[in-house]
Amino acid sequence: MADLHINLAGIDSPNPFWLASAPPTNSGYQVQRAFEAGWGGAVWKTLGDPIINTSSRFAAINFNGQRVAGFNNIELITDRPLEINLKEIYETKKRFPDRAIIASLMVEPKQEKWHEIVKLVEDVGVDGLELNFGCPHGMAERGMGSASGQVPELVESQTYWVKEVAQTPVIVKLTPNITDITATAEAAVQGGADAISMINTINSLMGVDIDTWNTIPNVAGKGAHGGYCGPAVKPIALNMVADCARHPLINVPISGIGGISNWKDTVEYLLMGATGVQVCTAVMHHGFRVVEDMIEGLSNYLDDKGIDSVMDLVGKSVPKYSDWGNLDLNYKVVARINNDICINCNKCHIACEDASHQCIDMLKDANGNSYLQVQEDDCVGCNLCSIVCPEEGAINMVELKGDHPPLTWNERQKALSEIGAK
Amino acid sequence: MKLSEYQEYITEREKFDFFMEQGFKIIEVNESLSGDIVKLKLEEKDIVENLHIKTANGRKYYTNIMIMQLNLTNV
Repeated sequence: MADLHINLAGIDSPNPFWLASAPPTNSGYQVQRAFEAGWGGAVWKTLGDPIINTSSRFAAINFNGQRVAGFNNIELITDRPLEINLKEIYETKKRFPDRAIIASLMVEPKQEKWHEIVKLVEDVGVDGLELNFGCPHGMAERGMGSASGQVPELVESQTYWVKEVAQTPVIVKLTPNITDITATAEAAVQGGADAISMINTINSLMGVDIDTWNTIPNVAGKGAHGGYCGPAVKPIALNMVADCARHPLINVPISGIGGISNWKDTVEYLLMGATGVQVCTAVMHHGFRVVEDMIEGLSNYLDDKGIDSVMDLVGKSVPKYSDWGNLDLNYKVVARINNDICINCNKCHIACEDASHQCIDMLKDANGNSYLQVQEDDCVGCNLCSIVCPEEGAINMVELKGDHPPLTWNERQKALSEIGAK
Repeated sequence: MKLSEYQEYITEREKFDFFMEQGFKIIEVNESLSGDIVKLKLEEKDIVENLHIKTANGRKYYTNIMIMQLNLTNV
C-alpha cells in the first residue's frame, strides 16, 4: 500500500487531506470527530478578535440536478473567545498527536497584534500557522482578510512580522480576488512565508429572488457580497495553484484549496504542484466521512500506478503547463464519430453548425438510416461536439500526424522579426 | 453559405507552392487586419511577387516554410 504521508514545509500529516479553515473546524468537538473519520489535518477556523455573525449566512447554486455545485457564505471568523479555542486546540492535539493542527489567524495589520496572537497560539502546540489574507467579506471592510491580501506590500510586511516571532511553519493563505495571484504569492515569499495556500473564496452574489427581489442570501431584506467556493471554483483555483507552482520566484510548497470534492480532484491538485489539499464545501455537503473514500481512492490510484508515495505526485504536471505562446500550432486533432455508439441526437451537428466550423454532416446510408460524419479537413479540433455529446465514446478526438515539426506562436514571431515583418 | 476554410487554404497553399517550386524565397511579411501579405522574391531574376494569405492554416503553412528557409540560411 502506498505511503499517503506528506510533509508540507515541515508540517507532517498522515495523509494530504486537511480540513480548510471554515465552519467544520469551528470547535474541538468537530475537529476531533473529523480526525476520528481520518482527516490528516485541520486548519482551525480563523482566530482573532471574536466577531458577531448574521443569521442567514449560506447559499448554494444547484445546477441541473447537482446540489451545491457552488457555495457561498457571509460568515466571518470565529465568534468564540481565543482562550476557549486554544484550550480545545490543546486538547485535540493531545488526543491526536499525529495529526496536523494549523491555526488560521487574522488580526489588524499591526506588528504588535501579530506578535501577540502568534505567541499565544504557538504555546498550545499547533503545528503551523496560516495567515488569513483571503476572506472577502465582512472582515475586509475592517481592513483585514482580502483587504490586506490584495496589497502585496501588506502581505509581505505582515508575513515578515509573523516570521519575526513564529517558531512553527507559516502558511500564507491568498485571495483569488486579485488580477494576478503570483504578485501576492511572491510578496508572501519575500516576507518569509514557508508555504502558501490558495484559494480563499471568490467575491460573489449568489442570486436574486425574482418574487421578493431580495438577494440570496438576505439578512432582513438586505444582502452583502459573500465568498464563493465549491466544485464550481475548482478550475479557477487549479489555474492559480499552477501559476504559482511554475513561477520561478515562488519556491515554497503550496496547500491547494478550491472545490476539492474527491480523491481525483486531489490528484489533480497534487500533480499541478500542491503538496496537500484543504477541503470545506464537500464536508459542508456530505460530512466528515467523505474522507474515507478520498483516502481509499487515492491509495488505490497510487497502487494501480505503482507509485510508492503520494509525495511522488507533487508537481508532475507542472512542466506540462505553460503559456499559450508555447503551444504547438501544428498539432492537430479531429473529431471522429463512432456510429455504433452514436444515438443520432444531432447535438454535435447543431453545436458545430451554430457555434463552430460547420463540419458535421447529417447523412443517410443506402438503407435510408441517418448517420453523422465529420469533414475532417474542416474540423479545427475544438472539442465542442465531444463536449455536448451525451453518449460516452460516441465522439473521439483523434490526433492526426502532421507534415511539419512543432511550431509555436513565439517561434513564429521570432521568425517574423528575423525575416523583417512589418 | 457554409464556411469551408479548408478549400480557401488549399488554394492559398497551391499558389504558395507554385512560387516555391520556382525558387522564390520569403523576403518580407506585412501583417494587417486583412491577413498577411507575404513578399516573395526570385533572386536570380529579380522578380518580386506578393501573396495575400487570409486563412489561419495558410499563415501556419508559410510560417513553417519561412522557418525552414531561415534554418537553411542560418546553417
